[in-house]
Amino acid sequence: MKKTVVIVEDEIPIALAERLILQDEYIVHLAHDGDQALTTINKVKPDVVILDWMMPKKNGLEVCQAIRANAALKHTKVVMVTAKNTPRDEFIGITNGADDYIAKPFEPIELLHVTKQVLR
Amino acid sequence: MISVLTFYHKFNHFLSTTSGELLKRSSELLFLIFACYMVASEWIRTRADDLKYLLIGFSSLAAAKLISVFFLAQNVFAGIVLRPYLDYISVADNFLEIGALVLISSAFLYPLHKKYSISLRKKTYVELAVIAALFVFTVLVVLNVLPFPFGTRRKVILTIMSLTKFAILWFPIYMITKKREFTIYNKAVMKAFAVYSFTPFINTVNWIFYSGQNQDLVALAYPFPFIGIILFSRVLFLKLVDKATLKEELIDTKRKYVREKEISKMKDEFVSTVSHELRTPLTSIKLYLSLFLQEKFGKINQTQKETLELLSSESSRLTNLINDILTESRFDQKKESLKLKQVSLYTLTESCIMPLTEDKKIAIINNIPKDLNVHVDHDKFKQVLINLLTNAVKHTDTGAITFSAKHRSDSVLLRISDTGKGIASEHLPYIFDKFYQAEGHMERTTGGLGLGLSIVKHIIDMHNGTIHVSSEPSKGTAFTIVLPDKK
Repeated sequence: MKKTVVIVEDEIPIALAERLILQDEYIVHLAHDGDQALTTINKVKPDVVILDWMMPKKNGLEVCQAIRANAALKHTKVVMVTAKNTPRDEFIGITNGADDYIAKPFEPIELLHVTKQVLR
Repeated sequence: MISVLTFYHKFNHFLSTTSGELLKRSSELLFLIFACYMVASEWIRTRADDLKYLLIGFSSLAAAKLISVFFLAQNVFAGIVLRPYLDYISVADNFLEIGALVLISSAFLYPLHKKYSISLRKKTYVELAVIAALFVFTVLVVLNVLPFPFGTRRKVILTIMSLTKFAILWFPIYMITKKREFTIYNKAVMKAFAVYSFTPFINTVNWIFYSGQNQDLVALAYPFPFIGIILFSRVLFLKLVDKATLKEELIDTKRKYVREKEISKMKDEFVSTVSHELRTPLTSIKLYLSLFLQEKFGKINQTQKETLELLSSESSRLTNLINDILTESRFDQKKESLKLKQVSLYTLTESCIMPLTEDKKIAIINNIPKDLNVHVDHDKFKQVLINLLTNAVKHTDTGAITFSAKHRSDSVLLRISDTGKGIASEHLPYIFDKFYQAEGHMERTTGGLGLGLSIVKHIIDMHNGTIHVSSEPSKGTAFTIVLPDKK
């Protein structure tokens, strides 16, 4: 059975590209801000959330913490996407609950690889 | 009960008598001794030049007062008539005062002189030499060696002396006004000298117009030296106790520091925003280019493929430029720390060697011994190798780029040499500077921001290592890195 991915990204072109990359292997849902993201995530209970850090309304960190605080989502993996120049260890520390991260700009293969990795 | 005005008149009258003069000079002497004590204790502690001048100055002023006090006391308490000694007393008294004022003015102007790097010593010596000449002249006149009619002798000498004093006292005021340095300290200096100068001014007028006989003017001149000395004490207080100059400097420095911090914070925010804003569109561009190349949007022909690959490589270049700027800015913020571990230099170098574009006919040779390990931060040192290799490839069209390394007693020596066009000797001292480009911006053929070598140098410095460059135009360039080997 295909696994479910929610892509949370306020930049429409990036969100659409990410969907294009993932849609062959996963069932993909899109959300464009933090509030919408939480509604969608609570509804579909995805296996992976691809979560942008800098977003309007709720930012990626807040969404990530909300996911972690929800017992119903304890099997949901979180991959943070950031344009900030922060080394990996430091970043995972800050997010306090993300399973992995991708730095912008990235290649399609990286997104596929990291998604597969966290689901293993 | 006497009125205030009557009291003032009576007191002034008293001051014009020998006893009054004695009281006046004694109080001035007390102040001066106190000032000398303050300066001396500070000078013993710091041995500063300006304090030495000040100490000599105040001591001479005190000595002048002491001589007057000595003779006045003889007159008041022992009834000795001063008339025959008067010329000698006033000459000694006046000259000691003039010398003292020169030294004091030099010492008080010390901060100003230092700021404009005027030689204090030279100025003081010149002034003292002029005074010495004046002194010799006066002594000769007093001793009747130079012919001067007796009646005008005193007049001429005392007029010249009063004028000299007046000039010396106004010199610091002139200097401060000219340089427009109206700090608290300098204002106090100006006030003290101005007040002190009233007496010589009034005396000059008295000697020129009334042959020194106008008693009203004599009485008028009385209070000023006393007030002047009190004001000197205030300057001294500012200089030694209040440290007014230091305080002003501190305020200035604090202001600058706050501003620097603000600017640096603004820069950090700017860099972080720019990084985000630039990377977001770049992400889309790169993703869609990759999707095109993967034929997600339909089949593409060979020409289209090549064009898209070109676009892809250009956007990668843009990404690298942004990353360079960000790396450099992280170094500026001193946020980076090293994660040291044993690394095989050969393997690390192999991982950096990239496929070359086809039009470059150069070989990359890795001559590093396979068993050579270095104690470095893996990722940062890789960046060093990549930056150096990228530079070498950029500037070499034919020949080879060679990596070699050897172990010395307490260090590891790594050499990267190429057979490229080399660097002209006038550029060599600057190539590790930020944003430096050996080619001018107009003639640039290779691209880049000029940050690569600056980052290399920074990382090597972090490892306590050194990097040297040697180059010969059209023959090639070699970088030598020496890393300390901790075992």
